[in-house]
Order: sequence, then C-alpha cells, then structure tokens
Amino acid sequence: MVETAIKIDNVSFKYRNADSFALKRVTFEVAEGEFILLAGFSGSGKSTLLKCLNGLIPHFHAGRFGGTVEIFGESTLESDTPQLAKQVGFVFQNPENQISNLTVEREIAFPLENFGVPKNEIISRVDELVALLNMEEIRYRSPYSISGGEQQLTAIAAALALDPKILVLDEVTAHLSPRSAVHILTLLNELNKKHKKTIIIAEHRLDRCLNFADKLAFLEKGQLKVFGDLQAVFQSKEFPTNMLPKIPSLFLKLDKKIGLLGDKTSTIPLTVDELVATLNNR
Amino acid sequence: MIEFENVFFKYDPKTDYVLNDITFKIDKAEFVAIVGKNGVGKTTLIKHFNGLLKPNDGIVRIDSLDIVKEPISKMASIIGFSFQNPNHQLFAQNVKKELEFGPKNLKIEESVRDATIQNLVDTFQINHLLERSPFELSGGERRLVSIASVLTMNQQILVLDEPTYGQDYRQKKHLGLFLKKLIEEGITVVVVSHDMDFILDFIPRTIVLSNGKIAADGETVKVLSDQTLLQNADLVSPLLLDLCYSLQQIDDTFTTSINEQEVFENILSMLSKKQKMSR
Amino acid sequence: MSLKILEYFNYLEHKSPMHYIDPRGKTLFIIAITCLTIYLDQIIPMCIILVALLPLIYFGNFMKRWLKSLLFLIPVILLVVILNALFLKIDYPTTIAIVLGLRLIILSGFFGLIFQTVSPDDISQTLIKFKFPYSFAWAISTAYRFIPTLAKETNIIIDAQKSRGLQIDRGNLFKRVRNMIPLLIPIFATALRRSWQLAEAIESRGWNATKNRTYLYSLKLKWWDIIVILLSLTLFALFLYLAIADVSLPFWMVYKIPERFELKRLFLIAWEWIKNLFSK
Ligand SMILES: Nc1ncnc2c1ncn2[C@@H]1O[C@H](COP(=O)(O)OP(=O)(O)OP(=O)(O)O)[C@@H](O)[C@H]1O
Ligand SMILES: Nc1ncnc2c1ncn2[C@@H]1O[C@H](COP(=O)(O)OP(=O)(O)OP(=O)(O)O)[C@@H](O)[C@H]1O
Ligand SMILES: [Mg+2]
Ligand SMILES: [Mg+2]
Repeated sequence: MVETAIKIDNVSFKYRNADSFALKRVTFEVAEGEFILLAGFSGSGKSTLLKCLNGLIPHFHAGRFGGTVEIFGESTLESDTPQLAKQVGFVFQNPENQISNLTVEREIAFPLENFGVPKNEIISRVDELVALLNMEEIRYRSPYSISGGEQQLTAIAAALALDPKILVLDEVTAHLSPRSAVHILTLLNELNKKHKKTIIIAEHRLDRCLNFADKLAFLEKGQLKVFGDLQAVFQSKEFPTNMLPKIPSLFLKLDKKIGLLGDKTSTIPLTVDELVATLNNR
Repeated sequence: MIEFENVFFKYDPKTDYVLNDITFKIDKAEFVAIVGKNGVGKTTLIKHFNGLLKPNDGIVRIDSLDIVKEPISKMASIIGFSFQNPNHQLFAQNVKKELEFGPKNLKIEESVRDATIQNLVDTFQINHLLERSPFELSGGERRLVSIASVLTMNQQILVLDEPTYGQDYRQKKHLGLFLKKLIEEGITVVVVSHDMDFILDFIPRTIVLSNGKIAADGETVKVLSDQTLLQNADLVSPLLLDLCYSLQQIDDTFTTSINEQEVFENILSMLSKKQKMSR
Repeated sequence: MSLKILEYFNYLEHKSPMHYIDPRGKTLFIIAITCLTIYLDQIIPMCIILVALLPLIYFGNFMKRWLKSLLFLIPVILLVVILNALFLKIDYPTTIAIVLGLRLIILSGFFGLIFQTVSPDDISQTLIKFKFPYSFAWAISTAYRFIPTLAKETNIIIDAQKSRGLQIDRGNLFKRVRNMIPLLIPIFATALRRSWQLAEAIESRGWNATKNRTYLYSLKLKWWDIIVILLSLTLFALFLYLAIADVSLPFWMVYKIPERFELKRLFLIAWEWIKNLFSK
C-alpha cells in the first residue's frame, strides 16, 4: 500500500490584516510519489496553501489558522519548521530572493550545515546533487552571475539537499525563458518518476506539465473546487472552461460538436501527440 | 514611431556589447513582441525607448525625437512603461491611488482619468482590489495592478516588460484583447515576453534577440516556426503551431492557422474528409 | 548619482592576490597601519607608508578605482590642508597640514582596499571565529552583501517612477520632499519584501535546526597569513614602542618645511605684492 504523504484536513487561513480568509476549509490527501498540479486564478490562495505544507503557515506568518496539515502522519502544528525542512523541500518563485550564499556549492551545502552534518558528508552529498542535476559547470560560480534558469536549478538542488520526500514548488518557471522552463519541468518529472519524490507544484502554464502530472487541484477564492485525476477534473463541470489548457480545451470543443468521447476513446488527450494520435485513429 | 539605427550599448566598458548593432523600425499602431533567453538584453533594449539608457553609439528616435536630447519627463508623456518587477513601482496606500498616480503626474483631466480607470477596472475585473493595499496582494494581482497603473496614462506608445508572468489564462486573454483594442485606436505596443502562446495568440510581429543581435524580425508565425532559430535563441514553438505541424504530418492538406477557432474548423473539415474517404 | 559612493564599499568579485589573505590578517594589518599613520606626524614616514601602500593597491586590483575616488577627495583634502596651514597656531603649521593630507590619502587607500577584498563570507567567518553567534554573523554579512543590490534596485525604482511621469527635481522644497515619497516607499518596501522572502527561504532550509552548525568551508591560516600577521604585529609593536617610549625619530626622517616656505608667509608676501601692485 502507498503511504499518505500529505493530509490536509479542513484547513482555513486568514492573513493578519486581511478582511477575508485566503483558504477556506480545504481538504485533500496526496499519496507518496504523486505529482500534483495546483491551479487557480490569480489570488485564489495557491501560494498560501503551499506555505501550509512546510509549516511557514502558521509558524512564520501571523494569522488565523484552522484545521490540520499532516506530513507523513505528523501534524505541522507539532513540529517546527527546521524539522519539516527535512520532509518538505520548498522552492520559491523568485530565484534571487531565496539564495543566501556566495557560491552555488555553498548554497547547496547550506541546509546540511544548518543540521550540523559533518563536513565530509556534506561534500559527498553536494557531489551527488551536482551530478544529479548536471551542475558541474556552475558549481563554484556566484549565484548572482548565473542565468535565471541556473539560479532556479540551484534553488532546487538546495531544496533537495536534505533528501526530503516531498518537493513543493511555487511558480518556479515564471521568470524563465521557455527552454529553461521546459528543462526544469523535465527535471521535476525525472525526480518524480526515478527518485520517487512526491511533487506538488503551483503553475499558471499548465500545458507543459500535463504529460507527467497525476492529479490536479483547482482552487477558487480559497476553496478547493475540484481535485482528482486530470481526466476527471477536465470533464468536471466545476472546472471553468476558461482555465482549460489548450489541447484538452480544443478536444472538448470538438467532442461537443461531433462527439469524440465515448465511442472509441474515453480519455481526453492532454498533449499535442496524444491529440494527433486520437484524431488519426478515428 | 520607434526607430533604432545601428545601436550599440554595454553597461561596463570591459565587457561585450549587450546590444550589438541593433537596427529596426516600428510603425505607428504596430503590435510587436520582443523575445529571447534570460539575460539576452530585452530589458536593456526597451530601456532605450524612453531614454532611461542612452546608446553608446547609434541613434534611437521615438516619434522622430532623438532620445539622447530629450528629458525623460518629456518621454514619459509619450511612452507608458511597465517594469518587470511590480515591487519597483507600487507605493500608494491603496490600489485606486496607485492607478491615479500616473494620470495625476501627466495632469490628465479628472473626468478622462476616471473613465479610463473605470474601463480598466471593468476589463480586468479588479473592482474588489481597489481599496486594498498593493503590498498585501498575491504575486499575480500585484503584477496586474502595476500594468494597469501604466495603462491609465493614455500614452501613444506602450512598453510592457513581461506582462503575462504570474497571470492566469483568463487575465492573459483580457490583457491581449485590451491591447488589441488599443492598437486599433492607433497606439503602438511593444511587449517583452517568454510566453510563446500569448505572443502567437495576440501579437502579429516578433523580434528575436540572440547574442546582442536581432536574430529574426518578422511575422510571428514565420518567426516562431523556424526550429533552428528557436533552438539557438532558447525558445520553444507555441503549442498551436506544434499541433498544426503535427497534423500536417498525418494529412498534408491540413492548413496551418494561428487562430484557435480556425484550427478547430480545419480539424473538423479534416475529420469529415477522412470520413468520406473511408466510406 | 550619489549612489556611486556605495560602489566604493563594494566587495569586488575579481579575485586578486589580496583576496587570498585571511581577513583576520587583513584586519590586524589595518589596525596596525591606522595606529601608525595617526601617530606619526612627519612628512617622510608618511611618504614611506604611501609608497608601501602602492604595490598593495596594485595587487588588489584597486588602483583605478582608488585614483578615481581620489579625484573627488583631492579638492577636499587640499582645502583641509590649506586651511590648517593658514590657521593652525603651532610651530610648522604647513608641515602638520601636509601630514594631515597624506594621512587622509593613505587611510582612504587602505580602507578602500580592505572593503574591496573582504567578502561578506569572510566577515561572517571572522565573526564566527571570534565566537559571535552564527545568526548575528549571517545578518551582518547578508546586509553587507545586499548593499550593491539595494543600489541597483534603487536605480530601477527611480527609473520606474520617472517613466510614470514623476518629476523629482521640480518645484519648491515642499513639493520636492513630497515627490520623494513614491521613491522612498518602494525602496523600503522592496528591501522589506526581499528580507521576508529570504527569511522564508532560509526557514525552509532548516535555519537554526541545531546549535552545533557545521561549515563546508572555514577559515584556515596559510603560511602567507602568518607572515601578514607577524608583519602586522611588528608594525603594532613599533607603534607601541614609539608611543610609549616616546623616542624621537632618526634625524633623516624629520624633515620640516623651512620657515621661509611656510604657507602663511608665502600668502602674506603675495598679499603685499598684490597690494603694492594696486597702490601704485
Ligand atoms: N501578506 C498578505 N497579507 C494579506 N493578504 C494577503 C497576503 N498575501 C496574500 N494575501 C491575499 O490572500 C489571497 C491568496 O493569495 P495567494 O498569494 O495565496 O494567491 P495565489 O493563488 O498564489 O495567487 P498568484 O497566482 O497571483 O500567485 C489573495 O486574495 C491575496 O490578496
Ligand atoms: N544595471 C546593470 N549593470 C550591469 N549589467 C547589467 C545591468 N542590467 C543588466 N545587465 C546585464 O546585461 C545583460 C542583459 O540584461 P537584461 O536585463 O537586459 O536581460 P533580459 O533579456 O531582460 O533578461 P530576463 O529575461 O532575465 O529579464 C545581462 O547579462 C545582465 O547581467
Ligand atoms: Mg502565488
Ligand atoms: Mg528582463
């Protein structure tokens, strides 16, 4: 049986100065090894929800917090953020504002230093990560002199340093040029498939993640409207049509007109290749 | 409207040129995208439009004014400029005051100003944000407010640095349609973006920067379907184009289009043709 | 812009031989030099120190920047020297004034050099070696590291608001002050937001997880550091010896501008001469 990695139960949160709740009674579960897309209009509470996963909310941000978040059975209320850092790696949107060391290598070593890991172990762990993410060329460079994509890669490496089972990413490709963005997403897919990391990622450009995500959670005004398999979500009435990614949207429009679903196939194609194959088979 | 003649620029005398012999021209009421990988110099290029940066060599003319000779205050009345990072410009107590700041500086009449702001608020559906502090908004909301605060100024030229980042599909569409309307009113718009799908959907002309030079400049469809060019400039082709080319592989009569509705209809006709054939 | 001044304190990333010297050695050295420079009040020792400074500045890759900063400093220094030479009520005022000018030049060179070649990490590591808590060391070095970022960001903010039609240098004083608000608020807000985000990030990386933090790199004294430290101690001992024993310097080091070249006298002669010129 697969273990439950994240269990979010009835979570609400209101920022200190806000008039309304940013999260309202959100409940869902993520099994270990799943790849979850978190979608929603701007301001719907995605970043807020992600910050609940590693305890930044409620330990770091003041406000009214209700409900429980459990990471592998342990409530975030009962453990502190450093302990949670071992379970949950977090990567933020803005690469510049999350890097605090003078070389890429030291940035990766930073969490290990924080935990008092012996020096020789730090070195071997850094070696491992540099090899895994192909960062040999930038290892000794200053994080301020490398490209945005490389900075984001550094942040991911640092988030992986403590070998957390869960990786949480908040719009990490927003500032990147398209190819670097695709590179980062491909890497996340690999971490998920090969290294069995549970990944939960907030993204606006859903199109490029559809081929490897398992489930999608859709937030609207702080409420979880839909959660489930991509297929189920895209066919759900709760999911707004103007949020649909291009390919599924086109397919569903075709389906409405001439009825594609049902007779030969019951799945909605998610990528260009899948759509072309479906049309070709007809 | 915007003219670059052999423009050279670098920040530091010891380094290579960030802009290395750039020449192009943008006419009135044109809608142009500028693309290229991180750090290629897109922001550097557009900062020349209103004289925030001056070329080391070459000429930049805006509305036939030489930017080297004009003060930025004068350029501000001609060019609206939205910076990449919203935090660099938000300051007011609430969103409403933020939106009014630009028009007040330009001494735009109150009735005109209020009408423009109301129109923007309706377009982007940000009524509920008006009374809130710009510092307590989500990332995407902040970006949207910072763009809107520039759109309020009714200038002849608009320059937007990555307006779509952090925006959802809905807001992107609102923005694209709004800009298209401005073009029809005779306003010139230049957009820097990493979002190939947005560009294909709304912007007819694209300029690709690569290694300090203009690697391509032309119709968006043509530019964004040149695979080697995209590879060299660290770009990817838009999904819709990808789809059209893949469909052409299975049916060589399939006609490419950049309009989603047209692609939809082309697929329908392709399918019905196929059905007839198989009968 | 006035922000250029900040550049003077920036850590330069280009590695120079000076960068490889242990910051503790450098600190000791600058203390010794400062003491000596302030204590000695003769022209020739000052010139010797100045000459000794030149190769250090050269190897620190700092020559160009130093000369540039001197360009701004020299008028100020000249003014100080002239005023002192004219109005000091002691023996040999011109000599003392020149020593003062040389002192300023020397100290600007040494301090600039140290700022350019001590990295933020060096600072925190030094503090840690002297048993300061890690969080304090981290805060100091991070603040130091963000000086250039802050300067760059301030420029962007000025650009952004100018593009929205803000006119900074127009109108009366009251209006000008009011026009600073759209600049100051984003400057503080971005700095604040940046520190919040940074705090979130380090929190998520296990900040303060244990009291016994380890370090991937820590400072180690190399043979050349030992030399620097010994040299600094020697200089410091020299200073103490001179100061406490109150010995007089060897005669060749004590050169004083002769009475007849005193600036005051030259000035009076010139004054008389001009008066004569007009009275005729
Ligand atoms: N520090 C804060 N203080 C008060 N309200 C806040 C704060 N941060 C966010 N909010 C509000 O909480 C709500 C949810 O914000 P959140 O940042 O989680 O949205 P999001 O889904 O991540 O949006 P985006 O896609 O734009 O990043 C929004 O209405 C926002 O205005
Ligand atoms: N103020 C500055 N001083 C020195 N160098 C700079 C400055 N601003 C930018 N650069 C350098 O100039 C080059 C071009 O930067 P620019 O910001 O124009 O890139 P960009 O194409 O806008 O990148 P992005 O997609 O990441 O926004 C980069 O190598 C950058 O490091
Ligand atoms: Mg967010
Ligand atoms: Mg840019």
